[in-house]
Amino acid sequence: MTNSTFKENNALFWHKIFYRTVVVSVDENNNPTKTIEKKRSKALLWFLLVAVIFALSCCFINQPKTIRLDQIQVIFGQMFSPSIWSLKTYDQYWAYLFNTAIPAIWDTIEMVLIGTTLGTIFAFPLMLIASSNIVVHEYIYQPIRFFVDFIRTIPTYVLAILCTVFFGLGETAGTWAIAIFTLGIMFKLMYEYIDTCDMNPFEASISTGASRLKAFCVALYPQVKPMFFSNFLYTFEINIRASVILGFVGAGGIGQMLSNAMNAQQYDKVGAILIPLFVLVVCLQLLSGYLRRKSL
Amino acid sequence: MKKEKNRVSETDRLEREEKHKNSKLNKLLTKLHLRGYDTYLNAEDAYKKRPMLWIYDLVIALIFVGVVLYFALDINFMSTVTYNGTRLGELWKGFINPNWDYFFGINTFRFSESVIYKIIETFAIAFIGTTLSSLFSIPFGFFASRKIVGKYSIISEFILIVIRTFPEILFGLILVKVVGFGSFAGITVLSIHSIGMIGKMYSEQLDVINDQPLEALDACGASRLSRIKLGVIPQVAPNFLSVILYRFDLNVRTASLLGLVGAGGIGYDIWVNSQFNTWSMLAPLLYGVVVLIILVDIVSGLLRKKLI
Repeated sequence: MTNSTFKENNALFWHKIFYRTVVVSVDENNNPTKTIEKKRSKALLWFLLVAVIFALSCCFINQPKTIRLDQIQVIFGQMFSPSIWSLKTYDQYWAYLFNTAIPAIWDTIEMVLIGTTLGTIFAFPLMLIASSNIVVHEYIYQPIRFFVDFIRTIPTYVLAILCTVFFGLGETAGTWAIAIFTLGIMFKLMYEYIDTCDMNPFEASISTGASRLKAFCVALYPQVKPMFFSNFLYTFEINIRASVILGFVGAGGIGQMLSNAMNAQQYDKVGAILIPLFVLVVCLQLLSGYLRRKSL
Repeated sequence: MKKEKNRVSETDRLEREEKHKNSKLNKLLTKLHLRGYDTYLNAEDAYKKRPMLWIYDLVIALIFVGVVLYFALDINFMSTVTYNGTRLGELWKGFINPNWDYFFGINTFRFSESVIYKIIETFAIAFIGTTLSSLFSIPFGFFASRKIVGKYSIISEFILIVIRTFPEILFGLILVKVVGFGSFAGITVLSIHSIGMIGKMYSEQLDVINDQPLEALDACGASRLSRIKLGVIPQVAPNFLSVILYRFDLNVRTASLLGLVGAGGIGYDIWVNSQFNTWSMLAPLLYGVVVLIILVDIVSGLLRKKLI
């Protein structure tokens, strides 16, 4: 076999892997009269790729020494009833819930509201400049989008750590971390919405001699307003959930209480903090979902 | 006699209406959009008498600002700020001169404690966690879809909400107690916690599928399995995959976070180095996390564009 035929065979082999022949029509003896070549689906290839990455990833995972499944039962069993180690009676449990947990969550709400407001105030001018139908120059809106997208990639806890360096340990650092985090989310959600707004009223008011700001107030602001509020609430809800993390790096919030209670194995305290948090988050989710559905 | 007394003449009625229209209260109510418009023939007139809707925005904004200011006083906002020039200078120095030996794991550092190893570990945790949870959430998604299960879907929906609202870091704390420190705990956290969102998105996608292919298959006499294979899967597969990719984006962030509680990944080193103020060690870790997240963002964005 010469080298050239080998090459041809080789090419044929790869061709057969990626293409298949489909019979279009047959004669009376069921012999194919016309066939075409179709590309095979690449699903198998993608599946193989995922499997290979999965297998390689498994090399980096440590093997657990002991799996103590009874701990799950211990933790969840003690969460919603007082244990003898920390809160002895139901009276103390409810007292802890109402006197310690709810004020702590109220502090978190205050922190998150201030942070979300600050972030929204920063995001407002940026999202106007970054929407491609108000500012038509690509050299202005692309750098701003790139910059805020870069801020958005920094995880929340990293922001919180950096803020604790600048603002000291406590709720101030958490508030600023939430503000920067909100800036990214709010910016992304809003400029994508403004991009799809109806621009005819805007152009009409420009053509009557209005300035761009005035035209925005008259024509775009009524379109943007409901979405703005629902996005604000949505961001607020995300931030409430994210604020649990802040306590773990010393930036205020209920995270510190949670981790202290977990480390001291006082699971009933964890449960007492979790119940009002659950109620709050579920209510906010329902409300923000309702508003988003209404404004879309 | 009484009836005649009460009867009002036409002119009287018009006069009274005119008086009512020009009364101060009515003008105010019209201005505030609490009472309907009159009809104006002339555009200029209508413009002059337009309701002042901005008053509502102003009042809401003022109340909101008051609430925020009160809250700021309540938590002593900006009270812990102290200017510490040398500390910030050290931070800046650390960030412009990061410890590249630590990043690549050369010279005094072993590869297994370098930043690159930690990044790959974080990626591995996120990848395995997402893959497993995308498989686990298929039954949850099917049972939470109103189109397939009917009104009993609310049970699965409730389970999904509970999983979604449970803070992932607390989940990490609990599972570290169960399976011990290390990346295996991270996988378990991610593969359970992601079910909440992926299952919800699955059920949303299943709710909006088109019925017509299913009816056509029914008319051909297709079996239940082939109806799912030919009618449901081709419709939902691209959306499911894009949901998984989106969640993978988020899971990379979560995997890097879970190190804070000792569930593997890069977070533990970030926490330790930030506690001991070793900024030149912290800087390469942060650069690594940001690079990893940007890369995953770009790749998953490209793949999602290809899917839809």
